[in-house]
Amino acid sequence: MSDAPTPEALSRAEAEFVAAEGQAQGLEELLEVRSRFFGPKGRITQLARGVRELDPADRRQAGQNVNRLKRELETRLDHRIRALEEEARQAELRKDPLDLTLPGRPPTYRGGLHPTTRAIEEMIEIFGHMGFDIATGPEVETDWYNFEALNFPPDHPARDMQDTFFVAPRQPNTRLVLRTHTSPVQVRTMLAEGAPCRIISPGRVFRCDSDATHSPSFFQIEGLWVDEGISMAHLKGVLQSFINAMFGERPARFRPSFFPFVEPGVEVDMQCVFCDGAGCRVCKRTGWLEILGAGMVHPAVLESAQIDPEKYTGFAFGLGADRVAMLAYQVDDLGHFFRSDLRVLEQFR
Amino acid sequence: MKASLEWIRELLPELKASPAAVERRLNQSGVEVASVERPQDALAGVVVAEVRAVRPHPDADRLRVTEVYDGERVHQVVCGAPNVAEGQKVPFAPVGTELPGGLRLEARAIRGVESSGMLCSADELNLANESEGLLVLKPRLKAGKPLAEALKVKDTVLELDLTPNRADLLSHIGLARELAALFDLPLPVRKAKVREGGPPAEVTVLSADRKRCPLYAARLIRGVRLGPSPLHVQQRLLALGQRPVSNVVDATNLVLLELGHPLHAFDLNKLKGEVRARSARGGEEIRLLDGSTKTLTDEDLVIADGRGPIALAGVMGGADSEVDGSTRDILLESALFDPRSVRRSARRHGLHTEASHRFERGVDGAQIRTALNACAALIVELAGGEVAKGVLQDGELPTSDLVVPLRPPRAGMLLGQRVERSEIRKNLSRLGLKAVATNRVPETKLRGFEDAVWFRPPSWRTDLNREVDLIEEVARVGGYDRIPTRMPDVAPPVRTRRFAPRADLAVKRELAGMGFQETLSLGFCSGVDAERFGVDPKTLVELQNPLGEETRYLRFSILPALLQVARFNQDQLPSRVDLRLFEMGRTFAWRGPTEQPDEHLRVGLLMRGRRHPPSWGSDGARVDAFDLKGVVDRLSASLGPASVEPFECPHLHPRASARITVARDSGAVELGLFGQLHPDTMAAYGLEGPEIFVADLAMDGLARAVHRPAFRGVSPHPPAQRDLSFVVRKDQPAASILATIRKTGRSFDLEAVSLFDVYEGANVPEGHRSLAVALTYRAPDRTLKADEVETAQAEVVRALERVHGARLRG
Repeated sequence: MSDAPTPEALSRAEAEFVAAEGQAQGLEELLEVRSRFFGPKGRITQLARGVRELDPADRRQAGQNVNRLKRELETRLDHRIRALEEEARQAELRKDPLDLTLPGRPPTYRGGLHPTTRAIEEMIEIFGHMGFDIATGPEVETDWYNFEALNFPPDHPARDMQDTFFVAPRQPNTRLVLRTHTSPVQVRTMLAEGAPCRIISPGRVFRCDSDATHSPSFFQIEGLWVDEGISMAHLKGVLQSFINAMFGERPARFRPSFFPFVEPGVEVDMQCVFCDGAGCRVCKRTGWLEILGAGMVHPAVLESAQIDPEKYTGFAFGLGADRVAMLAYQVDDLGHFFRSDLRVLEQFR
Repeated sequence: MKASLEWIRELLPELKASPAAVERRLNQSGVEVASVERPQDALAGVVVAEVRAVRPHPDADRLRVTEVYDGERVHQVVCGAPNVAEGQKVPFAPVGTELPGGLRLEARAIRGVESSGMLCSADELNLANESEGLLVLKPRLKAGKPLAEALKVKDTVLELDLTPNRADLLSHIGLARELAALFDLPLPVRKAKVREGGPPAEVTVLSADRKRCPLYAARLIRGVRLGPSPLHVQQRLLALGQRPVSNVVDATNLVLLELGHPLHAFDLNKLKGEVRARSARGGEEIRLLDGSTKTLTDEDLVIADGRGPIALAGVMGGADSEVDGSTRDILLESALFDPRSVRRSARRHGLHTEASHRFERGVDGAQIRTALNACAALIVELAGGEVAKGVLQDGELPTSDLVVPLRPPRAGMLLGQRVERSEIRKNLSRLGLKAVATNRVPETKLRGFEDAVWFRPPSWRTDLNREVDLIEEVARVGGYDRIPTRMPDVAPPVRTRRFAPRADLAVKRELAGMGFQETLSLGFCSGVDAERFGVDPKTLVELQNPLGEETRYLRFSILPALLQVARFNQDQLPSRVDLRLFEMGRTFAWRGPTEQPDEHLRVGLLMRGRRHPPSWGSDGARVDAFDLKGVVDRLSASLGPASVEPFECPHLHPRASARITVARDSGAVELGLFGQLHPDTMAAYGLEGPEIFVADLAMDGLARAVHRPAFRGVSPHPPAQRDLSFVVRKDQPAASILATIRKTGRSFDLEAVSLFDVYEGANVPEGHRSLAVALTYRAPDRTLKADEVETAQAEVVRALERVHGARLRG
């Protein structure tokens, strides 16, 4: 049996709803109110059903009345239910928060590159932007490439500048050395590729010398730029650019020096990175640090490499990669780089 | 080389520049001043004092108690010198003075008598080589006067780091010339006159080897009296790092330092017959001044008398003809020797002397007579005697008609700025080069020589031989500061080769990302390392002059160094057991009769300790061989399927030791070895604690993993996923089972297969294991139907049964 949806019945039902809804506390009771009024046997549902039993002429109006009331009351109830549901969800989300001040769980161990490698990579990038390609050569080198082709004649005192390790050869009449510098790569590259030529060559070199400030093997970066019209002004330009890029803009000083494979020869100092030129222990109070040797490629070297020194000129330079790393990362002892003390190496990650 | 600025000023009186200005100018022009000393600083605090009283020491026979007056106060000083006497003026070092040896004086009691300060001898003040007793000063000196002032010790000693091309700077005259050029002063000229007397010399000198001794000259000095040199001579030698010996020897050293020419004085009365420069006869022996005896080869040049060698030419004199207290007559040698011959002899016999150092680098031949005369005169001044008439001489100076052209435009091109002819002429003439008119054009085929200026280098600059040498001198005198700083405007050439990513860096970064720390070692190894790794000794690359046994060979592998690093850090931080290390570098081996040994870039890996960094959530499980293999797999991932086979080698544990190769079109490429370090190898390197896992991989192989990836497309159709679990005998390698699955699945759109479980134990028969794999099927062009997938699965199962004897689990 269904109730007749008279206006009075509707008002009664509304009043009952308002009372019930007003009394209801919490989600459960609200759901109960919903079922009591809007469930299959609910008060309002019954009234809606009663519309069918009215005269066809009254049905339209009554139907509209019932529906309006239903929508209105239901919306009001649902609103409260949703708010409470949301509240419950929010409470649930906030339950048992994590202590994010606990240390994070590391994804894996922290690895790292050796400081010398880092310095070499920085230099490769800096010179790479200037168009230098990388070239390499063997570490066990023939006397010809390491010395003779570089204008160190046999039995010349200039050979004393580099304490040399000799390697026992397997062929007669061969003299092998551990390369004392990366400069043999100059000749190898020029012989292989001719001019023009713009390369850097990072790599290990060896000197028969070991004390607090010398290691029997260390790393150098060679640079070579041979082309038509290359001058000493260009040498200064490229090396000043390098110094600025590597150490921040700072003055450089170009002094005459002697290396058999260049002429004129240059020694380059830069303003001390520790004291910015004020004078300190590291720069021996001079405000300057020796950073590299360089010069215009000696015509005899170009001739060794079968390049016409009348047509082409060039400059070459050699940087101690470990020294650059020491200065760049302000390390006071070269030994740190070869002792592989992880407490040291781990500082360069 | 040490140089006295006062001496340079004696040779170049026009030089007024301050010591600091001289130092700066030398540094600017490539003559590196390594350090500067002031000999007077070593005497700081020492004053002239008057001995007022001398009493015997109550408790010691050989000591005296003196009272000395230093101009202000009287001090009581205990003194051991036998020659101390009242009224003397002596050097007094008060309390607080630091003596040249580094001793700081304190007031103390000597045998119960208070003594404040010290009365000094000449050698205690480094003013003489040896001395007997106190240095007794001139009586008219005022007490309290600083000793340095009293003795006129006021100098600046420059320690120079000379480059081997500048032989001319190994003397004070050479430095005076250089400074004259740098400060634009007239070039100093040293002339030497000698007064001769007595009968002509009755000795004959000869050069029997004109190639190696083009000129041998000598003088005879009669009636010298050997003794110590005067204090100022000794002081000068000591300040320049030379030990005073005797007046005659000191004279030769002074001339060496002044003119750069080595001289030698023989005791004439110890010589027999004519004196001749000749090749040594193989096996001949000579006892040298340093006390050593050398067996000579016929490549050595010697000076010999009728009995045998009396000097190793240009290197060192012989002991048997040494001047000593009994010497009266001297034969003074001034000769020219071939640089290469001197260098070879010196090196052959392990000698390096002031003389050989200069002959090797080339002496100024034009100065042989000047040096001879200057030295003869100085000997007479210091040791008396008379210079016999005439110079004994055989051979002659090689003449040089070297003229060097300089094209001003070429200089401008090379230096990057225009250089005026006038500047060239001015700068070079300051250095003693003479512009000459010449009609010789030896290099006619070269352009631009019509306008060249031709120069004759001075006799002392043997390093100036070609145009570029002169260009450097022009720039050097002008200063490199004046050369502009400019980037080249050369356009890069059109690139012809594809840019290649760097495999070495890619692998290093990948390893660092996987938690490995890079180390760098020296690159050597020992014979013991080679033995421990079972390396064929014939392949080792050996040094002829190693620093020690530890570094006798070039490394054959990176691993020994990594083990040493692990050991080093174990000692530093015993608590640190978690290690992940790598090093990349060349290894060396002889692989045949090649000119140079094989060099290969390899990377060594070492892993040990916990799998995850210790943290509050980690379980502390340790890495095993499969963690290392995971790293190797990651590095070689894009190389395609790798094949791994057991491979026994001395340094790896027989249970976990494998070789990994990858198949390439060109054949199999060996990547290297990996596994667990053998317990014996661990022990041999002193390693304790958890197992260690190592890999030694060839970058030749890994480099190919660094390539530009090729896109294969993606299928828009859904995958079908099936798992299979089966039991198989343990001797069936997992890799070959997976290969069978892949091979079979190839005709059935099998996209991927992965092994997700390996189980041994309950419900699996002894000697067997259960493997579980997940298979993903997917076709590029359609959605696979269920029956297609079932057919594929059935085929895979059949293949597993047939090939591996596998039995499907329920």
